[in-house]
This record gives sequence, C-alpha cells and structure tokens, in this order.
Amino acid sequence: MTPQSMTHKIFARQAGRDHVESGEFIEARINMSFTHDPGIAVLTETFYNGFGRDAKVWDPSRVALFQDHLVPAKDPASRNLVKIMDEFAAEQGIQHYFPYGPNYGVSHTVLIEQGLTLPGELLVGNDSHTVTGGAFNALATGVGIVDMAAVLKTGRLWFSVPEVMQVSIDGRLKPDVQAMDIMLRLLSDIKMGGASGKAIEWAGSTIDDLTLDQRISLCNMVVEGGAMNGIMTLTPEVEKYLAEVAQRPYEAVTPDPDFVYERVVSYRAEDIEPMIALPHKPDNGVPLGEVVRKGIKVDQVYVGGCAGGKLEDIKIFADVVRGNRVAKGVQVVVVPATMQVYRAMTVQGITQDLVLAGVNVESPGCKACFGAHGAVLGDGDVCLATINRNFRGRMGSPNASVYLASSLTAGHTALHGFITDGK
Amino acid sequence: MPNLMTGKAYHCGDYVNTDLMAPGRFEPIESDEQLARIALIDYQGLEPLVDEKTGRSDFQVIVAGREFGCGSSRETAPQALSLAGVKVVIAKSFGNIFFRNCINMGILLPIRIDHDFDESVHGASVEVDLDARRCTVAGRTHTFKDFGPLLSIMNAGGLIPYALQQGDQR
Repeated sequence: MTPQSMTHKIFARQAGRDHVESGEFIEARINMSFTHDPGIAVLTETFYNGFGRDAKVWDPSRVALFQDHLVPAKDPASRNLVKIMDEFAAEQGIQHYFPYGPNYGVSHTVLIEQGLTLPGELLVGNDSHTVTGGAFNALATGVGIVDMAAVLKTGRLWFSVPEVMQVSIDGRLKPDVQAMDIMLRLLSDIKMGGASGKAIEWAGSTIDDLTLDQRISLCNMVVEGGAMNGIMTLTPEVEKYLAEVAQRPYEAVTPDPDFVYERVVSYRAEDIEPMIALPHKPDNGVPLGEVVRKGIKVDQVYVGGCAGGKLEDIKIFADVVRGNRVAKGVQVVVVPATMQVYRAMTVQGITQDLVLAGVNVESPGCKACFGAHGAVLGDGDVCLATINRNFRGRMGSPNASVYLASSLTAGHTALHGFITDGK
Repeated sequence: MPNLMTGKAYHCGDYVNTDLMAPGRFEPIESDEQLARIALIDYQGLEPLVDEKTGRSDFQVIVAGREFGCGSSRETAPQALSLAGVKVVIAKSFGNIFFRNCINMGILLPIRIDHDFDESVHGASVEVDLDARRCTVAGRTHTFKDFGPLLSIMNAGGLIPYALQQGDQR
C-alpha cells in the first residue's frame, strides 16, 4: 500500500478510496461546513438562485453559522446581514447557529469550543483561517462562497490533493517564546509562497508539548505561508479536551511512518527567538531584539483575533500588565476571540486586572483584525498586534503600519508605549 | 469561458493579496458599481487599475508574480477585478481560495505559468487560447497546464451549474 500522510488519509476516506495521490483532483464528502456574516447575503442568494427557492441544505446538523465579522452591527447594512442569517437558519433548521449574544465569537474558536472541529474530519469554511481546525487533527481548509453554496446542497466538493511538507520542531522552547514566534520564524524562512497550495503536517516533541491554545495559533497561520491546510496528530491533552466537548464519535489519523514528504523543515526549539513581523507582510519576521533597539513608538496595541485572542494569549498579556498602567497616549485594546473566552477572563478576574491597568476590553469578534470596525487604524498609525496578518490596509488605513508579535511582547509594549521585550 | 481572449496587460508584483483587491473597510459592499471602483485600490502599482472617471479598467489581463490573491477568502476580490473588466489573470502561483473562486464563479481565468515578466510587461498586448493552452504576452508565448476536470466546471458556467448537471446524472 502506498504510504499516506494525514491529509491523504482524510481525503481518501472522504472520497471513498483506498488512497489518493498528490496532484489528482477528487470529489470528497464534507463532514462539517460553516459560513459567517459578511458573505451570508451572497451565499444565500447563490444557493437559492442556483438550486431553487425551495432548496434544502444536505444536512442541517453539518452546517454551522456564525456572526463574528460585523457584530455588534457596525451599521444598518451589517444588521441587515444578520437578519438574512436568522431567516436562513430558521428556514433550513440549521442546528449550530451562533448569533451575536451569549455564545458568539470568532467562528474557528467557537467550533473548537463546541466540539464541532473533530479529528479525521474534512471541515470547510468560508474563511481563510478555517485551517485552524488542523490543531485538532481535522483536514480544515478555507473555501469560497460558491464552493459553500455547492456544499450546502450536495455535501461534496472538488479538491486537488496537495503536496505535503513537514515542519518538525524538537526540544524545549525558551520561556519567552510563544507559538506566534515559531510561526513568524517559519514564515520568514519559507516566505508567503513557501507552502503554496500544500499541506503542512507538524511533528516533533515541541509540537507534542504545546498547550491547546498554542497548537491552535500554529495551525491558524499556516495559510500565511500559502498552505491549503495544516494538521497535527492528537496528544493526550487534546484527547482529554475532546472527550468533554466532541459532538460526534471520531476517527483520528496519523501519518504512515514511511510517507515521503515533499519537503521537510526542521528546527531545534532552543534556536527559536522571540520574533516580530514588520509591516506589511507576515513573512517580514525578524528577531524582536533588532526592532527593540530602534525604540519604535506605537499608537495602539491590539490583542485579539483567532490567532492571538484566545484565553492563554490574554492571560500571558495580563500577567505583564497586571498591577501596572498602560503607557499614556497608547490605545490598548483586548478583543477576546469568543464569549466563552470573555466569560473565563471575567470569572478568573483577568477582565478586572486589565481594566484597572487602563486596557479597553472590547466585545468578542473579528473586529479590527479585518479592518471593518472596533479600533481600526488611521493614516500614520503604528500598531503592534497579536493577529495573523498585517497586509497594507488590513486593520484600516492603507497608510497605517502593523507589527505582528506575541501577546507577551504586546504586554511589554503596552506598558512602555514603544516596541519592547521589557528587558 | 470564451476560448480566445485578448487584452492589455496590467502588471502586479508578488503576493498581491485580497485585502488590496477589495479592502475590508468597504464592507458591506453596497453595489457592483462600488465593487468595480475599489478593485486593487490599495495596490501601489504603476498606475491604478481602475480609471477614476469611468469606474472601469482599461486592462483585461493581469500579469502577476507569486501567490496572487493570497490572504482572505473574500469572493469580492475576484468579483471586483471582473466587474472592473479584467478577464484573465496570469500568475506564477495563486492563493488557494482565490483560485477556487475564479473557477467556481466562472468569471476570471486563472492561468499558472512560470514566467519572468517584470514591470515592462505593463500595457503590452496579451492573447489567450484556452483550447491550445497557450498565452502570448508581449510577443512571448507560454503554454499552460491542462485544467483537467476543472474545465468541465468552467465550461458548465461555474460550480453551481456544474452541480446541477451532475445532480441530473446521479
């Protein structure tokens, strides 16, 4: 039997085949699909115009709907999108609907919290950061609106089976290094096209030792290297988490030991330094020390999003600012990824610590990470953010500059008002 | 998708992402007219893609470097280009979802070739022959890879009409 990667195995299973080859086109059955507010009008229009006004989704238990990008409604048009989603959810009997309210948040994170991101499954979403699900051994990948309209009707989709590269990291990370630093290092080495259309499969003792939230960050950002998906094997900690939340039984995959990767990139964990990505590309990463020397003043520090607004990211940030005051003249904004994160912060006293330190804690969602609302940047603004991409115009004005870094670096920078590691 | 397409080339460098093609600050998009006007608005190219007076592009073909359309999955990105008047994108590589959107929406032909065109290609004439899998840019001809089964999707007029056809056969 031809040796298979994790990505190959999931594609083969979902295509009803023994094995698949990189480069071939397949049609695969989808296990789980989701969309969110910005595309809902076009999606429902495409769905009903294409398949008829009485069209039904193929399986209402395998579709999730999220309000995360434009809530709370930033303007009347955004509110109207929400109404279209309400109507679609009711009409179709969608079982997993997360409207603005007590259980909303960024789709990728909510899917994980709700036990809808499951090992060995093929998960597609209308968002490039759908790749996040690989942290739970899912083959998770972003698709377009037309893809999703077809999936909603048929439960199937075409794919080109990717080449697979392995990124392996062994050893013990330095205490001031987070997943964001690992990712910025990898991106600075392979560059944005380095994994173009490929799968990234993670391996090594460092990966096995990562916390859930750190695993999530790594898989979340594989798309910044151009990857179609990123995927990790399960660890006892992940299995324990899934035992509590999983909504269905699942069958995890592991790579065959003799599978030949198209490329292998290896690191010693001890060699990875705190990193920062300069404007305007996530692969513009340099060791943080090089930037600290320049004393770059910031107008805003932003901790949030599906890459950097998880509970652990916010805890690390809070541990730095607790008991201090953020620097005068700097807007320091924390946007929890989800209501569940926000509740945990509040119960654990973190929200209080942040607010007392002068931090503005905003309601959860995608917010300024995609530039539409909630602390967007103006001309000439300089921002340090824990988000996943810093393309020109991403957080608002095309004349603003965004630096990407870990939430630890964000904490020190918030206190000093210039980019620093606090040393 | 017509078999023969001709037009004037607009040059783009590497890593031109979907945020540059249809920035989030314009969401939600109000009209096709507006979407056409913002096509590539944040890209600092040799000149704007869209003519401010007409709200349309004089360029029918984009000749780009690596990872054209990387970043966000937004379908407004290929739509904006198409509404502005672009019909073909020739690039060294594409963002995965952008490529899918082009095929599935049947509005832009995404041609992947290894090329060494630089800024001097800007304004040159381009000819694409889909059947022959050949494109000629500034007098230089490249052949491109077969689109395989994706051609059936494009020929059906996109993924939805294709799914309907397949449904009839099942």
